[in-house]
Amino acid sequence: MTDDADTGRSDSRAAHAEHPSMHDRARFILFWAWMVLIFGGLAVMITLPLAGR
Amino acid sequence: MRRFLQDNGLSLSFLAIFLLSLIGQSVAGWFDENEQLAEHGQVAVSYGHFVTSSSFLVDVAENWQSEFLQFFLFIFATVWLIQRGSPESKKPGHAGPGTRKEQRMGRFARAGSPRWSAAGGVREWAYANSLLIVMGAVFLLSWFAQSLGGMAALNEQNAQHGQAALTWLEYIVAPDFWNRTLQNWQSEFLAVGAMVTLSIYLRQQGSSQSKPVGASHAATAEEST
Repeated sequence: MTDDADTGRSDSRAAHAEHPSMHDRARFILFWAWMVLIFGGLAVMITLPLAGR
Repeated sequence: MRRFLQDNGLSLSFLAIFLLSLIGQSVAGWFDENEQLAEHGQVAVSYGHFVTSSSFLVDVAENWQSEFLQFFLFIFATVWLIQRGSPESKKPGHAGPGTRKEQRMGRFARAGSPRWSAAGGVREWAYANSLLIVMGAVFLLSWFAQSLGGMAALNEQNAQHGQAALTWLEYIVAPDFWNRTLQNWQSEFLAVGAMVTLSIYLRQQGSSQSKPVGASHAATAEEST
């Protein structure tokens, strides 16, 4: 708290500290969004030519 | 929401420019395809037909495979090889996977370490190599996708010229497959080599990919902080 006294950011940091799991969850969802994008894209690129497109 | 955007700006901005580029590629490719069809007196195809066609998919896949190969090789090479002076390299004398203590594995795991970093056995091995495994898997799958799409696109062209269709085994040794493959590989290897070497002497203030502006040219990544 004292470290941030000069910047006036202590309140916002304290508020974030109360919800660390929310940000962890958002980052985890972002990771899986990329995985779904990549492997979903691969599934499309493999299946369509096999289906004769 | 603002905090989420600040904390994840790098991945979100690349996600956005990836999607915009892919849409741009599909639209430009569709126009190009229809121009070529018109030159041959053939009927234009719909956008939906084009984006599900092998000629579009092979162009996407051949770029994906080379990008993931680039990262796969770079991750593997930076375990074992050193480039003195480069921020992309470990310190000279530190080639290899590192000790379990350095890697915070097993009994050296700390509070907050991922569970599998201390799981032992196959799980610990898989987690310790998970980035390389996933990058390698995406490379192989997208290279396989390129081979399927490329074969279908080439066979369509061959059919129009009354030529016989190639099997998959014939296609993967055909010039078309290797021309598409190697034209992408050469540019990736050039870019990685350039990044490793140019960053010895050149700087970008504020970038995690650069040494600090005032760091010595001889200092490798970890020595320069």
